[in-house]
Amino acid sequence: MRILLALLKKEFLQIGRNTFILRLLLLVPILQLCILSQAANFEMKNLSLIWVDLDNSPSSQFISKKFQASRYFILHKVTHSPMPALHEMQNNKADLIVIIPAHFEKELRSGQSPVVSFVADAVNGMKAGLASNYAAHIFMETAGELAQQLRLPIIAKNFDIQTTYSLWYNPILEYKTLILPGLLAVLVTLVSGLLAALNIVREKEMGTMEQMNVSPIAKWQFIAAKLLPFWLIGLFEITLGLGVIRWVFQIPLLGNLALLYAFCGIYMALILALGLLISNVSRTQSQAMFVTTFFFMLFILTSGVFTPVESMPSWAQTLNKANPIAYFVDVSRRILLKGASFQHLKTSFLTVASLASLSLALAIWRYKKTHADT
Amino acid sequence: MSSPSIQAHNLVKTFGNFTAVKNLNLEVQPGEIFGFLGANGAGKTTAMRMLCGLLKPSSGHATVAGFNVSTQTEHVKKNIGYMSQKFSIYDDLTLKENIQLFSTIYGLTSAQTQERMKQLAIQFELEDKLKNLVSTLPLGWKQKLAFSIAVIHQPRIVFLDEPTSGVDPMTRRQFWEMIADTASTGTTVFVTTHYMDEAEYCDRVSIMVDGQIQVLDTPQKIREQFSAQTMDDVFSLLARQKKTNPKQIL
Repeated sequence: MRILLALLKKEFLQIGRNTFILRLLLLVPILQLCILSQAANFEMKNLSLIWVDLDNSPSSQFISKKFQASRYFILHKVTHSPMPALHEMQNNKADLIVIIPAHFEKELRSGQSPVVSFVADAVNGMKAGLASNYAAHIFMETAGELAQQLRLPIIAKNFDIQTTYSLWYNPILEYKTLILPGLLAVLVTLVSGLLAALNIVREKEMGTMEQMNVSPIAKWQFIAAKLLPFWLIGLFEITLGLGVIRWVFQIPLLGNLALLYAFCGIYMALILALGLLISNVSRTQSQAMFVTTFFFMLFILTSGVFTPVESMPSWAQTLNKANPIAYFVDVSRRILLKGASFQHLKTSFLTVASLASLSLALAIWRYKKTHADT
Repeated sequence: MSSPSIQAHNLVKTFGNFTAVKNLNLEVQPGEIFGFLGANGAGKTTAMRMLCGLLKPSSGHATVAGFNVSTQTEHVKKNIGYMSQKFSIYDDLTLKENIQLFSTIYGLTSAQTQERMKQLAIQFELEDKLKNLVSTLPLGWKQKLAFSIAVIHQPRIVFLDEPTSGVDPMTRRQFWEMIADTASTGTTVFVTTHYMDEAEYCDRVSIMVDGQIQVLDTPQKIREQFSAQTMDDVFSLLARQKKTNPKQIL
């Protein structure tokens, strides 16, 4: 126990003297939460719109006004033939072209259904989908009003059926609410996991690892002294992150924080075990960095922070069962936004706990004081 | 304490199809200063790392302080001190913090640590440097610190891997005085060097060429055997032999 304390003292002294790490620990969570939550946003605003009006009637102008009033679109240009509009899109000047056909109003009056075309720039597929959806939505909203204006009871009837929906847990569809718990995961995983891996590999590079290996220190003492400080750092980062979410973004933390911390504790053990494993197989800090980044990218992109897990192919969803970040994102969202209880999260808790024990066992077994080669 | 401190019998280490150490046989007595000489790449460090329990021998048998280096590594580690060729003390800690850390690891109580620290600081003239960060010290001082840490727990055997490489002649002299002092307290010193003049300070030396010990005796007897003036000449003779014998190069 004395040895463990002496080793812990050493780790804290070293971390405390490394001003780079200290700055990193304080600045990364704050900057990351503030910048990414603003930048990584799926809501589309200011889509560039070209209005091709082949009808030039009061009705087409009425709808055009509605588009201009919408916060989703900025009217870039109005033309009366399609070719210049398509040319603009070719030059990346337009996200969406709306083509109002000739005789639009006439056909409306005569009870025919005029065909309005949307042309969306689908180089960014998600953007194209959203733009067409928003546009269709504006047409639907406007149709009733238009019918009234034209005194066309027949058309109004077509829009008799109204759908109604309510959004739970995130009532105003605030994207930040969804992404912030995910960013928390990024924080703790990247910062503490990578730091732990780099710290151990640094000892290898410096040769101090050999001095430790030639001493009678027990494996568990060395590993515990390495992981404990970063475990605490991880929990500190989570606290800092939650603080930013609560006080800067004013998002209420609904769930049971003790439950969240319990989960984070287990999750951190898993991440640190993975970090230890990576440090075991890496000889240099750059190797460790590369391997960590590779797995981190893989985990983060499939985790559901940025895209819904449900939209992935089933094999990817199966692979995701071994993705620690996916569990963290899911559990932290459910605790923070839904106020889920342990009963609801039991499976995730147990899975992460078993992954953690498995990786820790593997990492400890793999860490050797006596080497077979070099 | 009449049993040998270090005993190696046909110790072999191979990496892939390269044999770094071929059938190493030696015996070092308690309190002896044993010089382990050889050119760079001769296999000195590999042999030493096997004896310290850092590297698993491929075959053969060795005991250090009476413990088997293959199976009782942790017992071996309790009884030895080790100073690596590459400086490997924490340079973002102060001298004092380093000494405290390692003495705790080797099971000294805080009172014992205090006493040892005072003693070593006086012996190695480190007193006024104790509160300095190691990174701020010149290499000579760092090497002295590494040596103090290797002997902090008064081990039965201390392994020194080129302790004097890169330090100035004055400090080298001081080092050999420190080594002699340590040996006089009964600690066995196993030291590698490629400075042939330093061999004269050793009780016995071995010269390793291509993973094999070519000569093992007192410096005086070796010089006589090769009818050479200095150990340097002996070394040159051995190097020439190696060149004329193509089988050994392979």
